[in-house]
Amino acid sequence: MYHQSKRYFRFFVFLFCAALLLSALPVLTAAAADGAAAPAEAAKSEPGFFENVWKILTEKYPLLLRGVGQTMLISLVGTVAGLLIGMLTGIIRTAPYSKNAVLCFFHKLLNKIISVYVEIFRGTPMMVQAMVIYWGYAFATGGSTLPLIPSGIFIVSINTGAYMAEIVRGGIISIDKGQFEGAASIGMSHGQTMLSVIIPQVMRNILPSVSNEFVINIKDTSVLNVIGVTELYYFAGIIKRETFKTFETYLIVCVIYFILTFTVTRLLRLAEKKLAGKESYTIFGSQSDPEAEIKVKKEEPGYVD
Amino acid sequence: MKRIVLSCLALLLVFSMFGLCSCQQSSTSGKVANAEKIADLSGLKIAAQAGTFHAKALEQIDGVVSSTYPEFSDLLVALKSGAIAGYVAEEPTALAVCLEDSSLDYLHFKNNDTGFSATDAEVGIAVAVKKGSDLKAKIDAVLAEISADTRAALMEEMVKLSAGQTLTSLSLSSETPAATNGTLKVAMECAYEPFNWTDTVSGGSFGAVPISGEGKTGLYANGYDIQIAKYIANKLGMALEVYAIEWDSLLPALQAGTVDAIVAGMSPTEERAQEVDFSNVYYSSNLVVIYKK
Repeated sequence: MYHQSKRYFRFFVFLFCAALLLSALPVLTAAAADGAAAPAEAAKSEPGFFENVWKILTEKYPLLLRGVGQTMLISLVGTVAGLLIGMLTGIIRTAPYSKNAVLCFFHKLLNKIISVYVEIFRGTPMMVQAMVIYWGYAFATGGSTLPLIPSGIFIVSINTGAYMAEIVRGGIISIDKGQFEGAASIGMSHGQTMLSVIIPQVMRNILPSVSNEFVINIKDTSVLNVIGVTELYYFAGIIKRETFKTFETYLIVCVIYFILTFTVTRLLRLAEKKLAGKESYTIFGSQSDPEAEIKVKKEEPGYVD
Repeated sequence: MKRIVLSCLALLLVFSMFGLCSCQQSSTSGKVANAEKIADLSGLKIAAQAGTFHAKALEQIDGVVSSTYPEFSDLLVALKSGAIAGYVAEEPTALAVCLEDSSLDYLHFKNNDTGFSATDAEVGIAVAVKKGSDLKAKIDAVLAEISADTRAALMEEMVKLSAGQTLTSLSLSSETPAATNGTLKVAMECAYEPFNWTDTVSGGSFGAVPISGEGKTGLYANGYDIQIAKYIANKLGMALEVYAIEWDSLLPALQAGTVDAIVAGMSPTEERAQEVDFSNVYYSSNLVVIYKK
């Protein structure tokens, strides 16, 4: 079953790559023809595609680098802050209700508030949230605006927090009941159980989802250009307007985004492997190994690449 | 079954990509180049920037296939790629664009004659201030000092500057006051040549002003609007701060009080005049259509 689906997957990837290559061929040949025809014609004819790309890269790299810096800063801090929000809300939402009536009431109220927060921020686009928060603050305070980078980080954080809340909650309920019971049987309180038994396992289990969120954030910070945050996409716009080379500019930015996300996923995959420990055992219910429940012992050590 | 579905999907992808590549080959440039009045553009694909009077003016052409783009530079790219046959612009823009790119030209329409019907308010541009602001009277007084000849000469210089030529003096200049009372925060797109654009070279082009705001170091703004804004600020004895804000966020920024004025090549249309106050018109021009030769 597993091997078959892998073969189909490979087949599809091959077809997709072939289609991509075929469709890119006209563009590339046209570009090459442009480049070849340029010296033959008058010197004033338009520079070729690759010349434009090289020109943008060599002349505008300080802007691009600044953009990369801001993008990484906002998405990294945003993801970490979002994870903290998610942890907090996840722990609150999975905690059992207190026997004290007052505490129980506040806990329920807090749970309701968290659900409203999760639903609203998960259910509206980040671009719209950015506009509403940034200009809403300006209207509310009579003209003072939030500093751009912190407000960018704030918007990404609360947005990611809404997703993380669900990820962490899922991570906590996916931990086997036996772990809670075991902790309770040796006299641990709920807080102690959470801190020293459950959360470490949750952290390890949700790491793939967290790295997913991080990658999404790297890409999604681009929407913050609507409020003028100077991330990579913002500088791409500036370069585009200055050079009028839209395709070349965005192709470069596209490659930069891919390098960023690819590096981050590889690094986090490494971290996952480190956390997973030795290859010879897998933890029951681990998200990083979808087959763990079926296959207790691995037959193919290297297949999770 | 899975295999058939997947291969169908892949084939569909291949065909759609080929389809995309081939659908750009429709030559209409001959028809545009010979147009003498806007009615001659009937049936062609003409575009304009969204949220401007230009987009509304498009509807005056019978049977036009109109489209709008969010940014001015997108129109130029759409034209060069062949996606549209032409786009509506103001004459200074057309001059700047055609000076920079020899493959482009524009149709010399005259408003209310061979070209689009438009009132002065629709094709003129004015400074926007918050409703009831006392800045309006002050700005009007300063604008009155600039003669029509100076405006025309300044626009000519800005056209040259935006096309990459170097200048060493401008028709409109003023002394920066030694002591300033307050700052004049001015918003514009910094993306609408030759009215306002962004320079990334250190120092910017001649007469450029640094863009204010977090993370904007090393970015400079220049253009007709900048020179007018600089003149106004100097004459009012205020320090000038320029903010680069998206077109759609300009009015909210002014209404919220984030900036004191919009000097962004904005026409004082009726709808906008309900939201903000406008000064007298500081430039007015014909609407033309830029096309590929």
